[in-house]
Amino acid sequence: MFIDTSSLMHPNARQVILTELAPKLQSNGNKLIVLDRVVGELEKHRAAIHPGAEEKVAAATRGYELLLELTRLGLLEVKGADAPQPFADQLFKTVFTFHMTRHPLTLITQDISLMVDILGLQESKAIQYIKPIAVVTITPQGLHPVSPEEAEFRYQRKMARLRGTPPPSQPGAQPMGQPYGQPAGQPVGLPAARPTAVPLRPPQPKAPQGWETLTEGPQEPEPEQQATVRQPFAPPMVVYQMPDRPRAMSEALMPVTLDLETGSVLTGSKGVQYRLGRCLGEGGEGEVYETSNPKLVAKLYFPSHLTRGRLEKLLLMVQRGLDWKHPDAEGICWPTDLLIDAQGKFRGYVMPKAKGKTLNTIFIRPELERHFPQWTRLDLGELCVAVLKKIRFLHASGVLIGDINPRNFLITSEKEISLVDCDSYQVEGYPCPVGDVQFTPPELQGLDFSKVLRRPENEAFAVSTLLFMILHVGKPPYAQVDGGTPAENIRNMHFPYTVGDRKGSKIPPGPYRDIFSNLTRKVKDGFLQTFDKEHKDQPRLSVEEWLYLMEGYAHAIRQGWVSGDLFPEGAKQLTVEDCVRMGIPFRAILCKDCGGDFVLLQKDEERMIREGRMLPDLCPDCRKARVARRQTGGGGTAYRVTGAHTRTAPSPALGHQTAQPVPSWRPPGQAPAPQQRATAPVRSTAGQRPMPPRTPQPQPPVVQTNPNGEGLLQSLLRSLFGKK
Amino acid sequence: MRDLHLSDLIDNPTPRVPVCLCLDISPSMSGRKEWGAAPDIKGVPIDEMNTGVQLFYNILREDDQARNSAELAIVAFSGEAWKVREFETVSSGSVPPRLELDTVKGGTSLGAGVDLALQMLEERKEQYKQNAVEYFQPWLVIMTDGVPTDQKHLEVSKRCAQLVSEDRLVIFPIGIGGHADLSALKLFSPRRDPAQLATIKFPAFFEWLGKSVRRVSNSRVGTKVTLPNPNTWMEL
Repeated sequence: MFIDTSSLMHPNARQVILTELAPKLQSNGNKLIVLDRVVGELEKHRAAIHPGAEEKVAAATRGYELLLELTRLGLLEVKGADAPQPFADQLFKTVFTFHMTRHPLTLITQDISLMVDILGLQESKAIQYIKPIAVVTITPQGLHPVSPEEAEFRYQRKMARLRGTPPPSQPGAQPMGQPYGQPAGQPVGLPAARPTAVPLRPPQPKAPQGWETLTEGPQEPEPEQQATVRQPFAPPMVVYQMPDRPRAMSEALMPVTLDLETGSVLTGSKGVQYRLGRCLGEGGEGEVYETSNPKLVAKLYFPSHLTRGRLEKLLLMVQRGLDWKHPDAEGICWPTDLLIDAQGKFRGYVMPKAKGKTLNTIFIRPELERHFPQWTRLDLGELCVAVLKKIRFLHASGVLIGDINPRNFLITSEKEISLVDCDSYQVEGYPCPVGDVQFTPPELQGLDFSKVLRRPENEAFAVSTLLFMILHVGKPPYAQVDGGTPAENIRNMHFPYTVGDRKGSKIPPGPYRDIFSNLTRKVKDGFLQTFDKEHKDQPRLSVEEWLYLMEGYAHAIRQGWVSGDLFPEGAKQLTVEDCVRMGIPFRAILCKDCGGDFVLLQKDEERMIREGRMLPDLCPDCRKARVARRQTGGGGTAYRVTGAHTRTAPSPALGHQTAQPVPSWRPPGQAPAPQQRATAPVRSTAGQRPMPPRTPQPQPPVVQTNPNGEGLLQSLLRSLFGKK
Repeated sequence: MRDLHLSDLIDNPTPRVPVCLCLDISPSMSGRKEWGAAPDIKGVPIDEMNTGVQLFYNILREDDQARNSAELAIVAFSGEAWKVREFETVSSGSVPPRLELDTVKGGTSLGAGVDLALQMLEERKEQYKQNAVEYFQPWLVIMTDGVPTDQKHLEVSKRCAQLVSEDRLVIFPIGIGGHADLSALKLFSPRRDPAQLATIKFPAFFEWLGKSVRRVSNSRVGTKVTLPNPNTWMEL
């Protein structure tokens, strides 16, 4: 007798189990078996911290305590080690499949799909002499056995609800084991023209009276449902106006004669002195130095950029500031004071020192793996959320960033970001005079930014681009095969990726196609709507909308509805619920390795039959696992990189270069060098490469077969049950 | 093991700034007057040039953006032209070689050098396109201290000038020493007059070049991309 997570979390679980089940177990000398995996799920639910999770936490805690109580009574047995299946449900099917010829089995569950599947095991044609399988569910009235017809009926009713079609009118209207789900639009309940499977066991009696009033226990998650309660956003107390016209920023130069460098002393507005420390870097407008105040850095403009307009803008920003008490204000490196040199001339400003690495350092795969080796896709999603919250705060303060680009965002973790270069922000009509061509929307390409007042919809393009690049580890949304410069690609507005039925074209090689495919549908639609010329009449997504979608995406990853791999392999796998909801004809196939269900789309099946190919009998994960085991050293990603370029081997004459730090190159034909073309760059192997070896990606667990060739299923179940 | 050269195009999606150095290694670059060096040359130009190229790589390596964005290739020429380095980013860790003089062939085929450089630039652009990597218009830096000894440059310079006027190439023609043929260099560059390197201030030139590439890598538009002041190396 097994029990699953859904039943353990049922509000009535404790009462029903202890009063009805426990005495029976005691008199039979049996125990209730709970899989290790189920305990893990309870612990995970208990630890949930997102808003709205309180009920779940309470239910999981109750379930856990029930288990403890059963253990005290000597009625509980915990079985199993970690299994490769992500969900305990698939494990139940595997376990039941293995044991159903040996013992009668019972499962206590609230999960309707699982009921159907487990009871459906009895119809298996390949296995003979199946012992009785029963499914029991918890109701307010107590334990209630569920017949196959009833399970099927409840499943159809649930599917109908998801689809929005009328529910079936009576149990038994649909025979079990239908090959394809009904496409949307056809009423459920039409008798199927397919022969029903002949059950090996005698048919169960009809469902007992009063089944209509059964509760179903904790609701199963709806795909892409938002489970988080949005935290209300407090409007900031410091606000800048947003006029319609840009202010003319005076270009009048304010000449200076003093050269500034490390050691120079500058003064702030109240007489505070700052000595310049190390130069941290330079940008297009000036240089940034550490100061004698370790918390502050100084930005000093190049003489060519010291204009009266800049001074006026900075005066406004320094005097008014931002609502520093607001929770989202942290990390914004706003000018806090102006700086004057020893001759009393304006030179720049001080701001809080930013911490972390610029976003563009994680926009290269080896760099991301080096700096954040533990990151998964969830961290990328949460980073998007953190970035959006900061931008929302600035917009609500009446400030537009204007020059959104990865070099202006620094991160120490997926939740802690700093924003720099704030002096270029657009405030109260003072424009943002700079921009990064990759983040500039088509309507602003080529314009003189010092004369343009940006609007939120212009900014929306840059925000969307940044989000896309975060999720795709630096790949810009318009990068495509046969593309051109960033400006050309943006003007063409060709978004290359596939979204649903909209086929992409010129899709970049590499992991990007699969990353995009494994996003939630809403996020993909959001990118399509914002970027593609076919949708240019639709508004770009706002910061609020993106925040909602990104929180949903993070939630979907936590729930396991979409891949959490940084670099997913393979396109997103549709689930049974996805197909039913979207009305895509499909068939569910049992994987012969892991016993889990996977979807085979009708159109794919027809194509395979046409091409004379064998239909799959392994789910995609197990297929990959088998391929990985076959390759020596495990699988690595193997992108087909186009370009026939090959390295020629280094010539012997240069081969001895490893001894010298700098190789030399001599034109061919010179005595005494041998006659060869020196086309190959010389790589000194003496540890010159700054790029460290790749840290291994967290791979989905691959189950190894035993050396004596035992099957996956057998070794798994052996570890669960020992000798039986 | 994947070809790292091309896997970089997949794993590093930074828009590229391809820069090709097209460098004269004819005998006169030794500074020896009997080998054709101009009277105003002091020291050994090719040594200084090598030092300058090392400095160039270092400057790019120091900038977080440029090290992943700038891609460098080196072409050397005297009477004919040779590929010394294929395009790759400095973050790949490769060290530029010290060029040695051609002491056998002699001659100065500006045309052969630029022709090879243009060919390499075209090929690299093709690889960018096939791998969906964005790029900025390429830079071609030509440095020569002499007069072309063949006529190849007449045809090549037309192609070059055409690319420049279509905004598909940015060119920096540099003459070294009193014997450099600036009028020949001018043929390549309709928009920018050839500059004369003040004696042998190669390191200063390459430092300027490095900073300029860094600014482009950081791809600011809106303000004119102010290149640093060339007075550190230019003969005025």
